[in-house]
Amino acid sequence: MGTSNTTWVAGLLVVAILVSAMATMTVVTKSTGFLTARVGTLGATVEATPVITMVEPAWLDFGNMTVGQIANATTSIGWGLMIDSQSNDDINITIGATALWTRSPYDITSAKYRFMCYTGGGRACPDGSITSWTNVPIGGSTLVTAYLNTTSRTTEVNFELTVPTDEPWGSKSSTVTFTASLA
Amino acid sequence: MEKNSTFIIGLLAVALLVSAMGTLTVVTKTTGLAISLVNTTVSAVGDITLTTSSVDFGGVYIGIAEATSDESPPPFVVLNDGSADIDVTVRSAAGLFSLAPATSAYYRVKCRAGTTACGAGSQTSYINMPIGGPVVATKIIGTLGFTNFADDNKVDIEITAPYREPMGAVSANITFTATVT
Repeated sequence: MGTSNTTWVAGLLVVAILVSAMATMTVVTKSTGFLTARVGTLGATVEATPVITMVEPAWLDFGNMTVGQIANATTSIGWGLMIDSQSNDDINITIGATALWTRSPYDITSAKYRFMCYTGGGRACPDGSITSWTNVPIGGSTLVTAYLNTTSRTTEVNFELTVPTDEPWGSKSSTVTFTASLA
Repeated sequence: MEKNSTFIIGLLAVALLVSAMGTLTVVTKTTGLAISLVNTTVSAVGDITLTTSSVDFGGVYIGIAEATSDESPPPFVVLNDGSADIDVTVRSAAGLFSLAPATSAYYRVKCRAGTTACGAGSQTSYINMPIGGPVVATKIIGTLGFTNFADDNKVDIEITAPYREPMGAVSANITFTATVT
């Protein structure tokens, strides 16, 4: 075997060793870094849900009033109570409240404490909504905004107060509760 | 001349040894043939099965969180079918709700003990579900053992439909990927 041939054979052997070693390393690497993936499925069905939130500020302060005085929120304050629908379907909204005046019979439903769905601010008062002054139900509830849809989502409720002539002086407050249900 | 022959014989011996190791490794993987010469890393195979692979919450309502932690519906269960401790990552190819941010608290995931406790490195408190391709996959189970009857963990899912989410069915594919620790 000449020197030239020997060099050739030796070179080929070195290549063979390298190839074989690479193959071995590939197998070993695959074994140690083995990845297994599995896919699961998750499902749910979103149901029609009546959800509303109050637009801040969620309170009205009429300030000082005198007996016999009449005031409504949108003219005296500039806005009523605004409600946003976060629903995914049409909803109705009812209103209920605690008594504002202490003098009987004004602690029950009376014309001294009224509401209406306010159309003047460009808010939604769809057909069926209460758009004329209506006594605030004390301890009960009544419809204020009907069929509030998922396009025009905000409705505004105006309030009118008339201070009874024999109402004792002092701070007065009422908690107003709006309740949504599917229309 | 004699020196060259010795050199070539040496190279041949090395080539045969390396080639034999590779062949034995492959044979062992494919046939299960037990040959003591094979590197032990061959047996360190990570394999998982989802013994619960489908979770359906049924009807859900806007703003109300629903979770599998109360077993209604049952959570995913990841079983280590392999022969080595594994880590498991999780990702969801897409979000679940159309109005929720891509990765958000509306869609969360965590590890819970199955036949064995969640191991070191597991996420045992809810994290936001990683949304996207393999690059976002996040470890949810750490060091899950392979000993029978102590080799699975539950993976809880919590979902909350966001405000205004349209009615109808929603779904997502969740990919669990195991790697040998």
